[in-house]
Amino acid sequence: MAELPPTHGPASRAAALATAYISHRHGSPGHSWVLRNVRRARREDIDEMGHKYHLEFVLEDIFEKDSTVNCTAEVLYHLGNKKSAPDVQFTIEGELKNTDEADNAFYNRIQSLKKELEAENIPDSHGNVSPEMQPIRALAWAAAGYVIWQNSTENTKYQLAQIKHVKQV
Amino acid sequence: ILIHDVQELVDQSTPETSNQKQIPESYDYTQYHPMEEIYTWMAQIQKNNSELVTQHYLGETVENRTIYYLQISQPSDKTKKIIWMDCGIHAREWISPAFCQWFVKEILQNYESDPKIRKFLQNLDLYILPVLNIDGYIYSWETARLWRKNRSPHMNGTCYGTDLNRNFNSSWGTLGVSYNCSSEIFCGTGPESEPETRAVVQLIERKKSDILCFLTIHSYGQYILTPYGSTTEPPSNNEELMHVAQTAAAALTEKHGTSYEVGSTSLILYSNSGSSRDWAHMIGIPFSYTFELRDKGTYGFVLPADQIQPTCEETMLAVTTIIDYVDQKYFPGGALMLTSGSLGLSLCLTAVLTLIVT
Repeated sequence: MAELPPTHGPASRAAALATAYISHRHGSPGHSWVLRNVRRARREDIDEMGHKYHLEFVLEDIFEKDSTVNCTAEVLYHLGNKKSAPDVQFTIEGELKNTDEADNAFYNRIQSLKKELEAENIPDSHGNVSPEMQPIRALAWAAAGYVIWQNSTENTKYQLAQIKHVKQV
Repeated sequence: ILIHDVQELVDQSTPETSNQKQIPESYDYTQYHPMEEIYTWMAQIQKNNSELVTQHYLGETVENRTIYYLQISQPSDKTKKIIWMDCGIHAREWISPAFCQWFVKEILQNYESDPKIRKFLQNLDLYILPVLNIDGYIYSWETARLWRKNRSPHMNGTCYGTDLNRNFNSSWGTLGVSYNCSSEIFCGTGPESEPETRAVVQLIERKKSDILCFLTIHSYGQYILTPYGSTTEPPSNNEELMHVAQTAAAALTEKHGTSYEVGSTSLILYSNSGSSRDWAHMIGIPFSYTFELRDKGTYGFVLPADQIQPTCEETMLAVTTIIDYVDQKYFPGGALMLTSGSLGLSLCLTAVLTLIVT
C-alpha cells in the first residue's frame, strides 16, 4: 500500500468521487456537501481487480461553510472495465444533522404550489440562488452525485457547475 | 498601415490634467462588469491617473476586438523591470477580471499612502491585462455562462473555440489536450494559432529580458500553481518558487482564513501542455505562477458577487507578497526615499553595523 500526497491529483480525484457518492446517498433538500480537503490517502493496487484508494477527508456543507464532517472511504476503480462504476464504501464520523423539518417544509411548499415548479440557471450568472431554490440546488447535488459516481475514472474529477433547467413532473 | 491605432496614440498624448489620483467614483468593484464597461473603465483609469497609468494596445481577438493592457509606471529615468499579470484567459472565470480591476484600483488608490507600493514601483513596472479572452468573456455574458475557450470558428463554422491555455508553445499538443474542436481543451490548429495567444507572445517575447514575474489568474480551486503542467520534472528554481508561493499563500490565509494549496500543476491537478505559465517560465521568466482563485466547488465558476471583495482582498496580499520578494531580490538594500525622518533612521543603522564589523 502506497502513501499518497493528500493534496495531489490522484487523492483529490478519489475523494471527490467519494464525496459525490455520499451526496447521492445522503443528500436531501436541506443538505449537501463539497469536499473541503483530504487528510490522508493511500493506494492499494489489487491484482486483477484495480486500484483501491483509502481516504480520510473533510466535507463542508454547501449551505453552511463552517459546518464540516469527517469521513473515511475506500474507492475501488475497476481495472480495464470502464463501463462499471467504482465501488465506494464510506463512514461518516458522528451523526449527520437531522433534516426532517427542512424536508417536510420543502415538501409542503411544493404541495401548495398552484403550478408545477420550473426554473433555469441555478445559480444564475452572478452566483445568486434564491432561498426558495436552495432545496432544489441540494437535490441537484444529490442527483449529480449519482451521475458523477457512475461516470468517473481515476483520471477525471467532476463537479456540478449549474442547474440549467429544472421542471417538476 | 502606418499607425496601427491612432486612438491609442491620441490617448497616450493627452496632456496631464491635475495631480490628483482619481478612480471613477461610481465604479463598483464589488460587482461583475460586462466588457463594454471594462473598456470604459480602462480609459477612465488612464485619464484620471495619467501620470502613472498608460493604456497600451496588445493585439486583437478573433472577432476583431482590441485587447488592451494597462501599464502602471512611476515616472523616473531608471529602467525598470516588469511584473506581468493577465486575467480572463478563460471566459467563465469571472472572478479573474474582477481581480485585475481591483488590483489596479488598490495600487492607484494607495499609491500615495502606502510606502510599500511606492517602494516597489521605484524599480518595477506593472503590466496588467484585465481581460485577455474578450470574445469568450462577452459570449459568457450574452450566450453561455460556462464558456471557456475563445471564439475561433472551425470546421466551416460548425464548431467554435480554442482553449487559449493549451495554445502556447510549451510542449504544445502533447499532454492534457484534445485535437477535437468540440472539446473544452482543444489546443488549436497549431501552437500560437490564436490571435489572442500571439498578442501575448509578441509582447512578452519582446520584453522578456526585463520581465521578472508572469502571473496568470484563473478560477477556481484555491491554488498557487508552479511550473510545469507538461512534465513532473521540477523547474530549475523550484525550491525558491515554492518558498515564495508558500509565503504568498500564508499571507493570503491571514486575511479571511481561506486556505490555498501550493505546488506544480502536474502534481496538484493534472498534466497539461501549452499553458501560458509553462511557456513564460520556459522562455526564462523566473517567477511564473498560475493563480486559481475561490472557491473549491460550492459555486465554482459562478462565484457570487458578495465574494468578490474578500477574494480580491486576500489575493491582493498574495500578489504583493510575490512582488515584494521579487523587488527585494533584484533590487536589494534599496532605501525608500521617503521623509527625511526615515532616511535618517537608515543612515544610523548602517553606521552601527560598520562599527561592529571593524
